[in-house]
Amino acid sequence: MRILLTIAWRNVRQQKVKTTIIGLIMAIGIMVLVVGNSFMDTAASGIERYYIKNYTGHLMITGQTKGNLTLFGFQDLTAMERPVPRIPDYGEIVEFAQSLPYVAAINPQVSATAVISRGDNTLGATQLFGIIPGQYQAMFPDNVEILEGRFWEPGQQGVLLNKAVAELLESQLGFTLRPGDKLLFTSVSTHTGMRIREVEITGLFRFKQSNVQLDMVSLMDVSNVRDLAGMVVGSADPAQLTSEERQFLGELDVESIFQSADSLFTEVIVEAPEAEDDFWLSLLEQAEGPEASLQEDAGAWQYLLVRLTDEKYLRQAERDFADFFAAKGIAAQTRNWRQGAGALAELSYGIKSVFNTIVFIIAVVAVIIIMNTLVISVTERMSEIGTMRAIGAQKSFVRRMIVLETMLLSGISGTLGVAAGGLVLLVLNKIGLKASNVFFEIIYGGPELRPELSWSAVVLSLVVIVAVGAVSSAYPTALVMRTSPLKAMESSR
Amino acid sequence: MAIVELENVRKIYYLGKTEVHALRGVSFSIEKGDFVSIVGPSGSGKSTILNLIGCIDQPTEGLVKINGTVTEGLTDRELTNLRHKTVGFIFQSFNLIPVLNVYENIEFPLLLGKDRPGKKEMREWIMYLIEAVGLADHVHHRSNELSGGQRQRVAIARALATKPEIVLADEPTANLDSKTGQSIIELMKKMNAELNTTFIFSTHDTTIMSIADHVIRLLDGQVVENSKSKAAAGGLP
Repeated sequence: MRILLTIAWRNVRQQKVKTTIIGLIMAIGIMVLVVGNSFMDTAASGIERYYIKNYTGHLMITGQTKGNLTLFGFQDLTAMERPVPRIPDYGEIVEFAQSLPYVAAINPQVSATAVISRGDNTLGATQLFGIIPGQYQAMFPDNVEILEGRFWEPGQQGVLLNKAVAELLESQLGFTLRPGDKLLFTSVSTHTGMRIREVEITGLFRFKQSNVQLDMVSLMDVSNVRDLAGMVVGSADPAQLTSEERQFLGELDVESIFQSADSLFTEVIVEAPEAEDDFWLSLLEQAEGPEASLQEDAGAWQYLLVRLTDEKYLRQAERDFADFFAAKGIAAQTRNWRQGAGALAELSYGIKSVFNTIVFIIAVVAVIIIMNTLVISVTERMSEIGTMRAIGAQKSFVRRMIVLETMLLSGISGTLGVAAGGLVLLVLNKIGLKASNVFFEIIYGGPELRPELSWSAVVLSLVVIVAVGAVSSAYPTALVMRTSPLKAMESSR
Repeated sequence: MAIVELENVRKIYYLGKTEVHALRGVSFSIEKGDFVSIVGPSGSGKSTILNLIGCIDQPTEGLVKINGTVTEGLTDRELTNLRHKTVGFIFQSFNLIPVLNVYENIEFPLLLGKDRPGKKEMREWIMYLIEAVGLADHVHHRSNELSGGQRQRVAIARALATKPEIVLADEPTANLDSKTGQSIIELMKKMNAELNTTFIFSTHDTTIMSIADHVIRLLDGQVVENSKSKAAAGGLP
């Protein structure tokens, strides 16, 4: 082994052109890999931290359903066609969650998407989180900055409008929205029909750490959001319900819920419409009147967000809840923060996958270049290798020698690449990268990113470098293995 | 006892569709301790015979027996082991491993086999060989720091490192001036006498072939002379 190492090391040093070409390719490749993956890991861990801390908790409990259910509703093609299921046996689940020593806080929510209008003008859309302010703030004490106004009082209704949404609306309205102004919120889906609520703005806020997705979220009293989400009870007519709708309604008496599941205009509830609003007045004329209005399902929640005392309890919590649901026969399930966070968090992971795909393609190109260089190098050394074979070196010795040389070169280049990557990251960390547009904000997981060296990226880089070394030396090694000792004689003549 | 035996050996190479008959039924034997010169013009089959004796090529027909072992049917691993234990090589262009120094080049074959001598024993043997070939002042020089003659001396020491029964030398003086060539042959003869190692070398040079005590002359792939002359061994100047 000593002689192999000696030969390998001296060949690496002596064959300067080969060493420089292969070394540079590998070092630059590894540097890109380390910087890129550290960058992605920092962004992903930032996204994870701030989502868990400010929006999702460690896990979320929902009614049992298939599909891509997030805190923002279903994020797939079926979103318009099916309701987010309510959590069955909510009281029992809350009681169980509160009994777990590693549960730090819980927060129930409902979610709806609504179009905002005022007068004849459709102004924009917002995602609504229906919350209980006290409980929400206890769970996420540091995520909301109220810019103007306040949360609605307990027992009252209102909306805390996201400043980003407000600015969008104001650009169409031509004036500034203030607390006390009223807006119409309309939700439409095939399962709830069209639902309209007029809600007073009690305040304007922004999320302290936000992004393009969260900029669309406003906070509203749960009663109004339940209604916009179609989570209501009380009906004049029996309805024909699908099995999913029955599940959505949980243990409720299905015959007493919807007036008509087929009607798009199931119900219109408007509070204090604008006098000049002819369109909405005409709608009101078509409606059946407040006496037939549906009542809110006061115990209905779509999400129960759970924050743990420590992330290390996540697996245990998932197991405990699953066991509890199974034992009690409750059709509920847990989803982790990433599922809860939805498309944007997934996008940052998706971007990492794209990055790694690009890295893979670069690695393949690098393998080809390295392989060619090695083939040239090995061809030049046929006489030397033939001599070794002639004087008693087995094929395995020669194979080990070539592999060791490649691995040595890979190891040195990889180490230099990791060091260079670490240096680049150190500089980027000091400078900080500001997101110049929404795309980068998504990638960065916020307005600024200070990437840190990720050890998983270092390990990945080392795995890649070993793989690249092994793959790229495979063909040259095969070539060497076919080298007859006759080459020594022939080249000598 | 014959250390090398060739019986009716034929070797055919193929150049495209053309058959080249390198050896046409060659038979001879070489005794242990012989100092053998294989002579003949280019294309007469000298190198082919050295390749067959060195177990780096196989005959198309006939029998090659090295130190009692028939080479036919041996696997690559077995042939390599046979070469390592029995045969030492001296090449026309020296073929030293460029990244190794004089000591390491001679040590190299000793590190390949399973039955390695102890460190002290190995060092003493290598230093003996280095002194024997007159390179005691160049132990740590690499091949590119040595003259042609010095390189060939290293090659001789390397060929002798594993104490083989046979040392094959393919035109060992072809790349050397006549004076250096003469000294290399003298060195080989000296090691032949000291270690009783069989030396087999091919050459065109009529002056050095006269030093051999066994001359095998080839022409067109056939042995035309196979003469032993013990008196020739005493003909060194």
